[in-house]
Amino acid sequence: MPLKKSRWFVSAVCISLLAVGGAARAEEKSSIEPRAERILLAAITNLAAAKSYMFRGETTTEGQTPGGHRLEYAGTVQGAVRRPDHAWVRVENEDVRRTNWYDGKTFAYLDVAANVYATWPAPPTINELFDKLKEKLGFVPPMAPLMRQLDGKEVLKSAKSGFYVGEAIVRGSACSHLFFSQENNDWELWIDNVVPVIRRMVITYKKLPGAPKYSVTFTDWDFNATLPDSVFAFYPPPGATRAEFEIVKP
Amino acid sequence: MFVVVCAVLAGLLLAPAPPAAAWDDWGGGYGDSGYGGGYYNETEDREWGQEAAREAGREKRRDELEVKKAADSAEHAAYTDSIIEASKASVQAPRGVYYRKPGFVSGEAPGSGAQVIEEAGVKVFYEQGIFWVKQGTQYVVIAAPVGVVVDTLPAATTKVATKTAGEYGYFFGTFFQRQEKKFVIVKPPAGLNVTYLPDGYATKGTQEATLYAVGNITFKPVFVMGVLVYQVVGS
Repeated sequence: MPLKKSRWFVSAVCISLLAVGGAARAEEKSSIEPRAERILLAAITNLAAAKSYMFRGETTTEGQTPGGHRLEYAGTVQGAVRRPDHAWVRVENEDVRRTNWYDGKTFAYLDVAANVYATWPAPPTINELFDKLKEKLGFVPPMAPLMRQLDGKEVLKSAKSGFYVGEAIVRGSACSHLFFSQENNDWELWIDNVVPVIRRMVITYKKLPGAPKYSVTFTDWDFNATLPDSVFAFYPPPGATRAEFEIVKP
Repeated sequence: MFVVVCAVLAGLLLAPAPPAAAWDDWGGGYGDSGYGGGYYNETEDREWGQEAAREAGREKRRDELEVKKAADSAEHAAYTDSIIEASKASVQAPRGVYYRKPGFVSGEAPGSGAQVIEEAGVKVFYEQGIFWVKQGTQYVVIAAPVGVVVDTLPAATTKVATKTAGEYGYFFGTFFQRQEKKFVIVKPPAGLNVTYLPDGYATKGTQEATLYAVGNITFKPVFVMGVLVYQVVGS
Protein backbone atom coordinates (compact mmCIF):
# COMPACT_ATOMS: atom_id res chain seq x y z
CA MET A 1 0.00 0.00 0.00
CA PRO A 2 1.48 3.35 -0.96
CA LEU A 3 2.40 5.72 1.81
CA LYS A 4 -0.22 8.21 0.69
CA LYS A 5 -2.89 5.68 1.38
CA SER A 6 -2.75 6.78 4.97
CA ARG A 7 -4.18 10.13 3.90
CA TRP A 8 -7.44 8.36 3.32
CA PHE A 9 -7.61 7.01 6.82
CA VAL A 10 -8.68 10.25 8.43
CA SER A 11 -11.42 10.71 5.88
CA ALA A 12 -12.34 7.09 6.29
CA VAL A 13 -12.72 7.61 10.02
CA CYS A 14 -15.44 10.10 9.36
CA ILE A 15 -17.12 7.97 6.78
CA SER A 16 -17.07 4.94 9.00
CA LEU A 17 -18.41 6.75 12.01
CA LEU A 18 -20.93 8.49 9.84
CA ALA A 19 -22.16 5.10 8.86
CA VAL A 20 -22.49 4.31 12.53
CA GLY A 21 -24.51 7.47 12.74
CA GLY A 22 -27.23 5.87 10.75
CA ALA A 23 -26.23 6.34 7.12
CA ALA A 24 -26.17 2.63 6.44
CA ARG A 25 -28.25 -0.24 7.66
CA ALA A 26 -26.79 -3.60 8.49
CA GLU A 27 -28.44 -6.47 6.71
CA GLU A 28 -27.61 -8.93 9.44
CA LYS A 29 -29.29 -8.82 12.79
CA SER A 30 -27.04 -7.00 15.21
CA SER A 31 -25.92 -8.34 18.55
CA ILE A 32 -25.23 -5.42 20.84
CA GLU A 33 -24.80 -5.87 24.54
CA PRO A 34 -27.35 -3.57 26.27
CA ARG A 35 -24.73 -2.17 28.63
CA ALA A 36 -22.52 -1.11 25.70
CA GLU A 37 -25.50 0.41 23.91
CA ARG A 38 -26.61 2.34 26.97
CA ILE A 39 -23.17 3.85 27.58
CA LEU A 40 -22.68 4.81 23.94
CA LEU A 41 -26.12 6.40 23.67
CA ALA A 42 -25.46 8.46 26.80
CA ALA A 43 -22.35 9.89 25.16
CA ILE A 44 -24.17 10.62 21.91
CA THR A 45 -27.10 12.26 23.71
CA ASN A 46 -24.72 14.39 25.76
CA LEU A 47 -22.95 15.59 22.62
CA ALA A 48 -26.16 16.19 20.70
CA ALA A 49 -27.44 18.43 23.52
CA ALA A 50 -24.36 20.66 23.49
CA LYS A 51 -24.82 24.00 21.74
CA SER A 52 -21.27 25.29 21.60
CA TYR A 53 -18.16 23.24 22.31
CA MET A 54 -14.55 22.53 21.42
CA PHE A 55 -12.46 19.40 21.51
CA ARG A 56 -8.84 18.56 21.08
CA GLY A 57 -7.12 15.22 20.69
CA GLU A 58 -3.91 13.44 19.90
CA THR A 59 -4.01 11.01 17.01
CA THR A 60 -2.04 8.14 15.58
CA THR A 61 -2.44 6.95 12.02
CA GLU A 62 -0.87 3.77 10.76
CA GLY A 63 0.70 3.82 7.33
CA GLN A 64 3.03 1.82 5.17
CA THR A 65 5.97 2.82 2.97
CA PRO A 66 6.19 1.71 -0.65
CA GLY A 67 8.77 -0.78 0.60
CA GLY A 68 6.24 -2.32 2.96
CA HIS A 69 7.55 -0.90 6.22
CA ARG A 70 4.80 -0.10 8.68
CA LEU A 71 4.85 3.38 10.18
CA GLU A 72 2.80 5.29 12.67
CA TYR A 73 2.14 9.00 12.23
CA ALA A 74 1.48 11.07 15.32
CA GLY A 75 -0.80 14.09 15.07
CA THR A 76 -3.48 16.26 16.57
CA VAL A 77 -7.10 17.07 15.87
CA GLN A 78 -9.05 20.12 17.04
CA GLY A 79 -12.66 21.00 16.49
CA ALA A 80 -15.15 23.73 17.35
CA VAL A 81 -18.92 23.61 16.95
CA ARG A 82 -21.61 26.23 17.36
CA ARG A 83 -24.92 24.67 16.55
CA PRO A 84 -26.66 24.60 14.25
CA ASP A 85 -24.60 26.21 11.54
CA HIS A 86 -20.95 26.77 12.45
CA ALA A 87 -18.12 24.24 12.54
CA TRP A 88 -14.36 24.23 12.34
CA VAL A 89 -11.92 21.34 12.44
CA ARG A 90 -8.19 20.96 11.93
CA VAL A 91 -6.10 17.81 11.59
CA GLU A 92 -2.35 17.78 11.60
CA ASN A 93 0.00 14.86 11.43
CA GLU A 94 3.21 13.98 9.66
CA ASP A 95 1.30 13.18 6.50
CA VAL A 96 -1.73 15.48 6.46
CA ARG A 97 -2.38 19.07 7.54
CA ARG A 98 -5.89 20.24 6.75
CA THR A 99 -8.35 22.77 8.13
CA ASN A 100 -12.10 23.03 7.46
CA TRP A 101 -14.34 26.07 8.04
CA TYR A 102 -18.11 26.31 7.87
CA ASP A 103 -20.04 29.50 8.66
CA GLY A 104 -23.55 28.52 7.60
CA LYS A 105 -23.01 29.75 4.04
CA THR A 106 -19.63 28.55 2.79
CA PHE A 107 -17.54 25.46 3.38
CA ALA A 108 -13.81 26.09 3.01
CA TYR A 109 -11.12 23.44 2.89
CA LEU A 110 -7.41 24.16 3.14
CA ASP A 111 -4.52 21.78 2.59
CA VAL A 112 -2.09 23.60 4.84
CA ALA A 113 1.05 21.78 3.70
CA ALA A 114 0.47 22.57 0.03
CA ASN A 115 -1.25 25.91 0.81
CA VAL A 116 -4.08 25.04 -1.55
CA TYR A 117 -7.73 25.65 -0.74
CA ALA A 118 -11.21 25.29 -2.17
CA THR A 119 -14.60 26.69 -1.18
CA TRP A 120 -18.10 25.40 -1.73
CA PRO A 121 -21.54 27.02 -1.27
CA ALA A 122 -22.91 25.18 1.74
CA PRO A 123 -26.35 24.21 3.08
CA PRO A 124 -27.68 26.03 6.17
CA THR A 125 -26.97 23.45 8.92
CA ILE A 126 -24.08 21.22 9.96
CA ASN A 127 -26.10 18.04 9.47
CA GLU A 128 -27.17 19.07 5.98
CA LEU A 129 -23.62 20.15 5.18
CA PHE A 130 -22.18 16.75 6.02
CA ASP A 131 -24.93 14.95 4.12
CA LYS A 132 -24.35 17.08 1.02
CA LEU A 133 -20.56 16.90 1.26
CA LYS A 134 -20.71 13.13 1.30
CA GLU A 135 -23.20 13.01 -1.53
CA LYS A 136 -21.67 15.66 -3.81
CA LEU A 137 -17.96 15.70 -2.95
CA GLY A 138 -17.50 12.19 -1.61
CA PHE A 139 -16.10 13.04 1.80
CA VAL A 140 -16.87 14.60 5.15
CA PRO A 141 -14.45 16.49 7.41
CA PRO A 142 -12.60 14.59 10.12
CA MET A 143 -14.57 13.98 13.29
CA ALA A 144 -17.85 14.77 11.53
CA PRO A 145 -19.82 12.45 13.82
CA LEU A 146 -18.65 14.49 16.79
CA MET A 147 -19.99 17.65 15.20
CA ARG A 148 -23.33 16.63 13.78
CA GLN A 149 -26.44 16.16 15.88
CA LEU A 150 -26.95 12.42 15.89
CA ASP A 151 -30.14 10.61 16.66
CA GLY A 152 -29.28 8.01 19.24
CA LYS A 153 -31.85 5.54 17.90
CA GLU A 154 -30.18 5.46 14.50
CA VAL A 155 -26.63 5.24 15.70
CA LEU A 156 -26.11 1.54 16.16
CA LYS A 157 -28.01 0.24 13.17
CA SER A 158 -24.89 -0.41 11.13
CA ALA A 159 -23.07 -2.23 13.94
CA LYS A 160 -23.10 -6.00 13.68
CA SER A 161 -21.99 -6.57 17.20
CA GLY A 162 -20.88 -4.66 20.25
CA PHE A 163 -19.99 -5.30 23.84
CA TYR A 164 -18.65 -3.80 27.02
CA VAL A 165 -14.96 -4.71 27.29
CA GLY A 166 -14.26 -3.47 30.83
CA GLU A 167 -13.07 -0.60 32.96
CA ALA A 168 -10.07 1.49 31.93
CA ILE A 169 -8.24 4.67 32.87
CA VAL A 170 -7.65 7.16 30.06
CA ARG A 171 -5.61 10.24 30.95
CA GLY A 172 -6.63 9.81 34.56
CA SER A 173 -10.35 9.41 33.90
CA ALA A 174 -12.21 6.22 34.74
CA CYS A 175 -13.80 5.01 31.51
CA SER A 176 -15.89 2.22 30.09
CA HIS A 177 -14.17 0.47 27.21
CA LEU A 178 -16.59 -0.50 24.44
CA PHE A 179 -16.14 -2.48 21.22
CA PHE A 180 -18.33 -2.38 18.13
CA SER A 181 -17.94 -4.18 14.83
CA GLN A 182 -19.17 -3.02 11.45
CA GLU A 183 -18.76 -4.64 8.07
CA ASN A 184 -15.62 -2.71 7.13
CA ASN A 185 -14.37 -1.39 10.46
CA ASP A 186 -14.07 -2.27 14.08
CA TRP A 187 -14.11 0.55 16.56
CA GLU A 188 -13.40 0.89 20.20
CA LEU A 189 -14.49 3.71 22.45
CA TRP A 190 -13.51 4.71 25.95
CA ILE A 191 -16.34 6.73 27.50
CA ASP A 192 -15.91 8.67 30.71
CA ASN A 193 -17.83 7.19 33.64
CA VAL A 194 -18.53 10.59 35.24
CA VAL A 195 -19.36 12.85 32.31
CA PRO A 196 -20.38 10.77 29.29
CA VAL A 197 -17.81 12.02 26.78
CA ILE A 198 -15.50 10.04 24.53
CA ARG A 199 -12.01 10.01 25.97
CA ARG A 200 -10.44 7.79 23.34
CA MET A 201 -11.35 5.88 20.21
CA VAL A 202 -9.61 3.46 17.89
CA ILE A 203 -10.82 2.51 14.42
CA THR A 204 -9.46 -0.63 12.74
CA TYR A 205 -9.87 -0.69 8.97
CA LYS A 206 -10.07 -4.43 8.75
CA LYS A 207 -10.71 -4.59 5.00
CA LEU A 208 -7.61 -2.54 4.09
CA PRO A 209 -4.24 -4.27 3.64
CA GLY A 210 -2.56 -4.67 7.00
CA ALA A 211 -5.78 -3.66 8.83
CA PRO A 212 -4.39 -0.24 9.79
CA LYS A 213 -5.63 1.62 12.85
CA TYR A 214 -6.48 5.24 13.52
CA SER A 215 -6.68 6.41 17.11
CA VAL A 216 -7.67 9.60 18.90
CA THR A 217 -7.09 10.29 22.56
CA PHE A 218 -9.10 13.36 23.50
CA THR A 219 -7.16 15.73 25.68
CA ASP A 220 -9.82 18.45 26.03
CA TRP A 221 -13.57 18.83 25.85
CA ASP A 222 -14.93 22.32 26.52
CA PHE A 223 -18.71 22.55 26.64
CA ASN A 224 -18.68 26.17 27.82
CA ALA A 225 -16.70 27.49 24.89
CA THR A 226 -17.33 31.02 23.66
CA LEU A 227 -16.94 30.80 19.93
CA PRO A 228 -17.16 34.08 17.99
CA ASP A 229 -17.84 34.21 14.26
CA SER A 230 -14.14 34.75 13.59
CA VAL A 231 -13.41 31.13 14.56
CA PHE A 232 -15.47 29.95 11.63
CA ALA A 233 -14.50 32.59 9.05
CA PHE A 234 -12.10 31.54 6.33
CA TYR A 235 -9.53 33.89 4.88
CA PRO A 236 -7.09 32.42 2.35
CA PRO A 237 -3.54 32.46 3.74
CA PRO A 238 -0.96 34.60 1.93
CA GLY A 239 0.15 32.97 -1.29
CA ALA A 240 -2.52 30.27 -1.16
CA THR A 241 -3.59 28.67 -4.41
CA ARG A 242 -7.25 28.20 -5.18
CA ALA A 243 -8.35 24.75 -6.35
CA GLU A 244 -11.64 23.15 -7.23
CA PHE A 245 -13.58 20.34 -5.62
CA GLU A 246 -14.28 17.49 -7.96
CA ILE A 247 -18.00 16.82 -7.89
CA VAL A 248 -18.51 13.07 -7.57
CA LYS A 249 -22.26 13.31 -8.07
CA PRO A 250 -23.59 16.34 -9.98
CA MET B 1 15.56 25.40 66.69
CA PHE B 2 15.73 29.09 67.47
CA VAL B 3 19.16 28.57 69.06
CA VAL B 4 20.42 26.80 65.93
CA VAL B 5 19.20 29.59 63.65
CA CYS B 6 20.82 32.24 65.87
CA ALA B 7 24.07 30.32 65.89
CA VAL B 8 24.11 30.08 62.12
CA LEU B 9 23.33 33.79 61.73
CA ALA B 10 26.00 34.69 64.26
CA GLY B 11 28.50 32.49 62.43
CA LEU B 12 27.74 34.23 59.16
CA LEU B 13 28.05 37.69 60.66
CA LEU B 14 31.23 36.96 62.54
CA ALA B 15 33.07 34.99 59.86
CA PRO B 16 36.12 36.85 58.46
CA ALA B 17 35.61 38.54 55.09
CA PRO B 18 37.30 36.82 52.13
CA PRO B 19 40.52 38.45 50.90
CA ALA B 20 39.70 41.29 48.51
CA ALA B 21 42.40 40.51 45.91
CA ALA B 22 41.38 36.89 45.58
CA TRP B 23 37.78 37.88 45.42
CA ASP B 24 38.49 40.23 42.53
CA ASP B 25 40.43 37.56 40.67
CA TRP B 26 37.39 35.39 40.53
CA GLY B 27 36.29 37.38 37.54
CA GLY B 28 36.86 34.27 35.50
CA GLY B 29 33.41 33.19 36.46
CA TYR B 30 33.71 30.43 39.02
CA GLY B 31 30.83 30.76 41.33
CA ASP B 32 31.95 27.99 43.59
CA SER B 33 35.65 28.15 44.37
CA GLY B 34 35.46 26.09 47.46
CA TYR B 35 36.39 29.12 49.53
CA GLY B 36 35.03 28.53 52.95
CA GLY B 37 35.85 31.75 54.74
CA GLY B 38 39.31 30.79 55.95
CA TYR B 39 41.91 33.22 57.27
CA TYR B 40 44.02 35.35 54.94
CA ASN B 41 47.23 33.63 53.83
CA GLU B 42 49.84 35.19 51.52
CA THR B 43 50.89 31.87 49.90
CA GLU B 44 47.31 30.92 49.37
CA ASP B 45 46.68 34.33 47.80
CA ARG B 46 49.54 33.85 45.36
CA GLU B 47 48.28 30.39 44.46
CA TRP B 48 44.84 31.81 43.93
CA GLY B 49 46.32 34.45 41.66
CA GLN B 50 48.07 31.77 39.61
CA GLU B 51 44.94 29.71 39.47
CA ALA B 52 42.98 32.78 38.38
CA ALA B 53 45.46 33.33 35.56
CA ARG B 54 45.11 29.70 34.50
CA GLU B 55 41.37 30.03 34.72
CA ALA B 56 41.47 33.16 32.57
CA GLY B 57 43.33 31.09 29.95
CA ARG B 58 40.77 28.32 30.21
CA GLU B 59 37.99 30.86 29.91
CA LYS B 60 39.52 32.27 26.75
CA ARG B 61 39.72 28.80 25.24
CA ARG B 62 36.11 28.16 26.25
CA ASP B 63 35.09 31.38 24.53
CA GLU B 64 36.96 30.34 21.40
CA LEU B 65 35.24 26.96 21.48
CA GLU B 66 31.86 28.64 21.92
CA VAL B 67 32.52 30.84 18.87
CA LYS B 68 33.53 27.79 16.84
CA LYS B 69 30.51 25.88 18.11
CA ALA B 70 28.21 28.75 17.11
CA ALA B 71 29.81 28.87 13.66
CA ASP B 72 29.42 25.09 13.28
CA SER B 73 25.85 25.35 14.47
CA ALA B 74 25.10 28.11 11.94
CA GLU B 75 26.68 26.00 9.21
CA HIS B 76 24.62 23.00 10.30
CA ALA B 77 21.44 25.10 10.41
CA ALA B 78 22.14 26.43 6.91
CA TYR B 79 22.72 22.86 5.70
CA THR B 80 19.47 21.56 7.21
CA ASP B 81 17.61 24.62 5.92
CA SER B 82 18.88 23.87 2.43
CA ILE B 83 17.64 20.29 2.73
CA ILE B 84 14.25 21.45 3.97
CA GLU B 85 14.07 24.02 1.19
CA ALA B 86 14.96 21.38 -1.37
CA SER B 87 12.30 19.05 -0.02
CA LYS B 88 9.71 21.82 -0.37
CA ALA B 89 10.47 21.88 -4.05
CA SER B 90 8.29 18.85 -4.55
CA VAL B 91 4.66 18.75 -3.57
CA GLN B 92 3.50 15.92 -1.36
CA ALA B 93 6.09 13.56 -2.82
CA PRO B 94 6.33 10.22 -1.02
CA ARG B 95 9.12 9.95 1.49
CA GLY B 96 11.68 7.23 1.68
CA VAL B 97 11.82 6.83 -2.10
CA TYR B 98 15.01 6.94 -4.16
CA TYR B 99 14.71 9.78 -6.66
CA ARG B 100 17.07 12.09 -8.52
CA LYS B 101 15.69 15.05 -10.44
CA PRO B 102 16.79 15.92 -13.99
CA GLY B 103 20.06 17.78 -13.93
CA PHE B 104 21.45 15.89 -10.95
CA VAL B 105 25.11 14.98 -11.56
CA SER B 106 26.91 12.01 -10.07
CA GLY B 107 30.47 10.79 -10.36
CA GLU B 108 29.28 7.25 -9.87
CA ALA B 109 27.99 5.12 -12.70
CA PRO B 110 24.48 3.63 -12.44
CA GLY B 111 24.45 0.16 -10.90
CA SER B 112 25.29 -2.96 -12.85
CA GLY B 113 21.58 -3.77 -13.01
CA ALA B 114 20.81 -0.64 -15.01
CA GLN B 115 19.10 -1.13 -18.35
CA VAL B 116 21.06 0.34 -21.26
CA ILE B 117 18.91 1.96 -23.95
CA GLU B 118 20.01 3.54 -27.24
CA GLU B 119 17.99 6.71 -27.73
CA ALA B 120 18.71 8.93 -30.75
CA GLY B 121 22.25 7.60 -30.87
CA VAL B 122 22.84 8.32 -27.19
CA LYS B 123 23.38 5.60 -24.60
CA VAL B 124 20.84 6.05 -21.81
CA PHE B 125 21.02 4.15 -18.52
CA TYR B 126 17.73 3.36 -16.78
CA GLU B 127 17.65 2.38 -13.14
CA GLN B 128 14.79 2.55 -10.58
CA GLY B 129 12.81 5.07 -12.62
CA ILE B 130 15.80 7.36 -13.23
CA PHE B 131 17.40 7.98 -16.64
CA TRP B 132 21.11 8.81 -16.82
CA VAL B 133 23.44 9.81 -19.64
CA LYS B 134 27.21 9.94 -19.47
CA GLN B 135 28.82 13.36 -19.80
CA GLY B 136 32.61 13.14 -19.75
CA THR B 137 33.47 11.26 -16.61
CA GLN B 138 30.16 12.00 -14.91
CA TYR B 139 26.56 10.88 -15.18
CA VAL B 140 23.65 13.30 -15.47
CA VAL B 141 19.95 12.63 -14.82
CA ILE B 142 17.68 13.48 -17.76
CA ALA B 143 13.91 13.72 -18.07
CA ALA B 144 12.27 10.45 -19.04
CA PRO B 145 12.29 10.30 -22.87
CA VAL B 146 8.77 9.73 -24.20
CA GLY B 147 8.52 6.57 -26.31
CA VAL B 148 11.36 4.72 -24.61
CA VAL B 149 10.54 1.18 -23.50
CA VAL B 150 11.80 -0.07 -20.14
CA ASP B 151 11.80 -3.53 -18.62
CA THR B 152 10.67 -2.69 -15.12
CA LEU B 153 8.76 -0.10 -13.13
CA PRO B 154 10.33 1.60 -10.11
CA ALA B 155 9.12 0.10 -6.83
CA ALA B 156 7.27 3.26 -5.76
CA THR B 157 5.22 3.52 -8.96
CA THR B 158 1.65 4.61 -8.27
CA LYS B 159 -1.23 3.26 -10.34
CA VAL B 160 -3.35 6.03 -11.80
CA ALA B 161 -6.30 5.72 -14.15
CA THR B 162 -9.20 7.44 -15.79
CA LYS B 163 -12.46 5.80 -16.77
CA THR B 164 -11.79 6.37 -20.45
CA ALA B 165 -8.00 6.30 -20.85
CA GLY B 166 -7.18 3.20 -18.83
CA GLU B 167 -4.40 2.55 -16.35
CA TYR B 168 -0.98 4.17 -16.11
CA GLY B 169 2.00 3.97 -13.81
CA TYR B 170 3.23 7.24 -12.28
CA PHE B 171 6.61 7.96 -10.78
CA PHE B 172 7.84 11.49 -10.10
CA GLY B 173 6.42 13.14 -13.21
CA THR B 174 6.93 10.15 -15.49
CA PHE B 175 4.00 8.16 -16.87
CA PHE B 176 4.34 4.53 -17.92
CA GLN B 177 1.93 2.40 -19.89
CA ARG B 178 2.13 -1.36 -20.10
CA GLN B 179 3.30 -2.69 -23.48
CA GLU B 180 3.07 -6.46 -23.36
CA LYS B 181 5.61 -7.42 -20.68
CA LYS B 182 7.40 -4.08 -20.77
CA PHE B 183 6.51 -0.46 -20.13
CA VAL B 184 6.63 2.53 -22.44
CA ILE B 185 7.08 6.15 -21.35
CA VAL B 186 4.04 8.10 -22.53
CA LYS B 187 2.43 11.52 -22.48
CA PRO B 188 -0.47 11.33 -20.01
CA PRO B 189 -4.04 11.98 -21.11
CA ALA B 190 -5.93 14.97 -19.71
CA GLY B 191 -7.96 14.14 -16.63
CA LEU B 192 -5.41 11.81 -15.03
CA ASN B 193 -4.90 12.56 -11.32
CA VAL B 194 -1.65 12.16 -9.42
CA THR B 195 -1.11 12.74 -5.73
CA TYR B 196 2.25 14.52 -5.92
CA LEU B 197 4.50 16.54 -8.18
CA PRO B 198 8.25 16.04 -8.34
CA ASP B 199 11.00 18.43 -7.45
CA GLY B 200 11.57 20.95 -10.23
CA TYR B 201 7.97 21.74 -11.13
CA ALA B 202 7.12 25.29 -12.21
CA THR B 203 4.00 27.31 -11.42
CA LYS B 204 2.16 29.51 -13.87
CA GLY B 205 -1.12 31.36 -14.06
CA THR B 206 -2.61 33.29 -11.15
CA GLN B 207 -3.38 32.35 -7.56
CA GLU B 208 -7.00 32.02 -8.59
CA ALA B 209 -6.07 29.63 -11.39
CA THR B 210 -2.66 28.21 -10.70
CA LEU B 211 -1.19 25.59 -13.00
CA TYR B 212 1.90 23.46 -12.41
CA ALA B 213 4.27 22.42 -15.16
CA VAL B 214 6.53 19.38 -15.01
CA GLY B 215 8.46 19.32 -18.26
CA ASN B 216 5.79 19.52 -20.94
CA ILE B 217 3.01 18.25 -18.71
CA THR B 218 0.63 20.75 -17.12
CA PHE B 219 -1.42 20.03 -13.99
CA LYS B 220 -4.09 21.86 -12.01
CA PRO B 221 -4.85 21.33 -8.30
CA VAL B 222 -8.15 19.59 -7.52
CA PHE B 223 -9.63 18.16 -4.32
CA VAL B 224 -10.97 14.70 -5.07
CA MET B 225 -12.93 13.19 -2.19
CA GLY B 226 -11.09 15.52 0.16
CA VAL B 227 -7.63 14.66 -1.06
CA LEU B 228 -5.51 17.16 -2.96
CA VAL B 229 -4.46 15.80 -6.34
CA TYR B 230 -2.88 17.27 -9.44
CA GLN B 231 -4.92 16.71 -12.57
CA VAL B 232 -3.31 16.59 -16.00
CA VAL B 233 -4.69 19.33 -18.20
CA GLY B 234 -2.22 19.06 -21.09
CA SER B 235 0.95 17.37 -22.24
